[in-house]
Amino acid sequence: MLGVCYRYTKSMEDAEDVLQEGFVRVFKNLQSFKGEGELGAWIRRIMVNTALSFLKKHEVYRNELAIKEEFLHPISDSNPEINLNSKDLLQLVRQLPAGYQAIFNLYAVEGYSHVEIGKMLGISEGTSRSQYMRARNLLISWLEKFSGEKKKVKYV
Amino acid sequence: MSEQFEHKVHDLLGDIEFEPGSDVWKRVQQQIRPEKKRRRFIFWWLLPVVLAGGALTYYFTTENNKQQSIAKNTTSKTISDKIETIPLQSSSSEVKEKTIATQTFNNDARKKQKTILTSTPVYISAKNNQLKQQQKHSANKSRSSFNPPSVNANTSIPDNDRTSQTAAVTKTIKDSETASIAKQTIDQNKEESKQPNDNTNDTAVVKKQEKKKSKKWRFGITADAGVSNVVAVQNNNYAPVFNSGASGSPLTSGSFGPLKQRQQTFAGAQMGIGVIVHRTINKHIDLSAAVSYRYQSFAVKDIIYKDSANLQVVNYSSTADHSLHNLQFSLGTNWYLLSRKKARFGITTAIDNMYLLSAHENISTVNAGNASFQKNNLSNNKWQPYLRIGLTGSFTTNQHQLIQLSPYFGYGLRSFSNTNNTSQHVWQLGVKANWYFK
Repeated sequence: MLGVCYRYTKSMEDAEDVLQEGFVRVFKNLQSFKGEGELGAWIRRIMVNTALSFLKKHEVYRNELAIKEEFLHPISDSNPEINLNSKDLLQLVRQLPAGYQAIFNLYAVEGYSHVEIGKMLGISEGTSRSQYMRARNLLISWLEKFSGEKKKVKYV
Repeated sequence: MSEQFEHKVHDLLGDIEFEPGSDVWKRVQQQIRPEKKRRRFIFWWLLPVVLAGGALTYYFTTENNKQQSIAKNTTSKTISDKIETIPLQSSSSEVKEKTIATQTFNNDARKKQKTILTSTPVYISAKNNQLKQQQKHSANKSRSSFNPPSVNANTSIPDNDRTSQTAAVTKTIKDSETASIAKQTIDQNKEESKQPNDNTNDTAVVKKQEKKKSKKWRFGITADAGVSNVVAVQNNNYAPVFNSGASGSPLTSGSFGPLKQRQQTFAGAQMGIGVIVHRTINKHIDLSAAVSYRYQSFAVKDIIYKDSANLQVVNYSSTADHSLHNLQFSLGTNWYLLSRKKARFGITTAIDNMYLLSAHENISTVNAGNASFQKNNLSNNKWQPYLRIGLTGSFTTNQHQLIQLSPYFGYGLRSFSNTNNTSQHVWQLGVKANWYFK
């Protein structure tokens, strides 16, 4: 679970704080787990929610998390090869601004839909989608830079 | 958009694991444990609070029930009084029965007809005691000779059955009374239910009137009593060094060097009595203003001594009893935190300003060469602020009367000497009672 927390934060200390707070929530609300689904998934969901609360609570993250509505939605069809191990990729994801980082993790790793992400972060589905695309393109550009390739980004 | 990229990311990052430091689990444990302790703490404190609250609720509920039952009894009595008139309108046979019964008992007619409701041997409940006494009397003399005056001529009762029949008849009377009252009540309720709008309006009007009444000015008297004292302010200060005198009187240092002064204070009585006006602002707050006379006393012992390294000998000491007479003006507010129908409890605060009418200093004991009594009439008329704070309980005895009891602590600056114009700190401790009767 520390891996989950670490993906949303910028330091291991913050990740441990989230983990601690998350497990306190788990123990306090254990009676509300009705056995529907896996316990691990339930705990993971609590960790994700705790991480998002942590980001909203702390000023360092809050400023980056302030997501503006933008009218131009970048699109990209590129699916580059990822020639990195998981820890290097994780370091790249953690270089993204906190807002991009959160949305990227929620969509690409946790598998939440943009509607769900919009509800979780208090933004519209479209904004979630555009922010995700920006995060994705940024990450791909870093990956391409990493592998010496560059591709153009189209706007519609 | 192809999701290949997302799948790869998910595969790489989805199950990534790190080992947290051992501190994390300790902190989690610490955060979970205190809650259990806190719960227990709250529980043990809740128990007496709930018990006390329950006892108070029970007490006031019982009081209300008592009052309601008294009110009901009064209503029932009124109804039963009304029933007395009903037999006059009933059939002739019933009238006959009642007449027989009335004649039998030779009572003063209609006031006691309410108990005459049976056709066979009839007893008036008011005469039950008389009957019992007669029974007892006849039993002592001769059990067979008893002929109760209350029995109808056609149905004489054997002695043995008399007691049981008396009980039965009394029961019958009660039942018939109850039935009649019930009937009356039902009829009354029916009539009332025919006019629901009037009742609603009445209730609203009554509520308005009650609200008006509760906001009315109240007038009453206020009295309080307790202890007061002055705070010693001259401990271990050097007393003014007098010119050395050849006589070496107690107040002079002479050749013995400077003297020191120490004060001891002794608490005295304080009491006040006056008039008070009160206004309720809302359910929780009320204001009051009062004018009262206040008496206050305390004693101060002055000790003047030499500060000698070898020997500390008290050269002079005097004890002076102070008595102060004041005119007190006070503005107060009560803030009620706990409200019940007949009682409210809370905090009381007041600002007093006292106008010193006169002050007397009576030097009662002098431990020195010159042992004479002195009485100084001090007058230093000025306004002197005072603050009071305390707890208060307000009890409504009936619609007009309200009693407030407030244990309080007061503190203020006083100047009560015409020789020493500096203010001194005075405290009071007492219980104040306000009785509002209008």
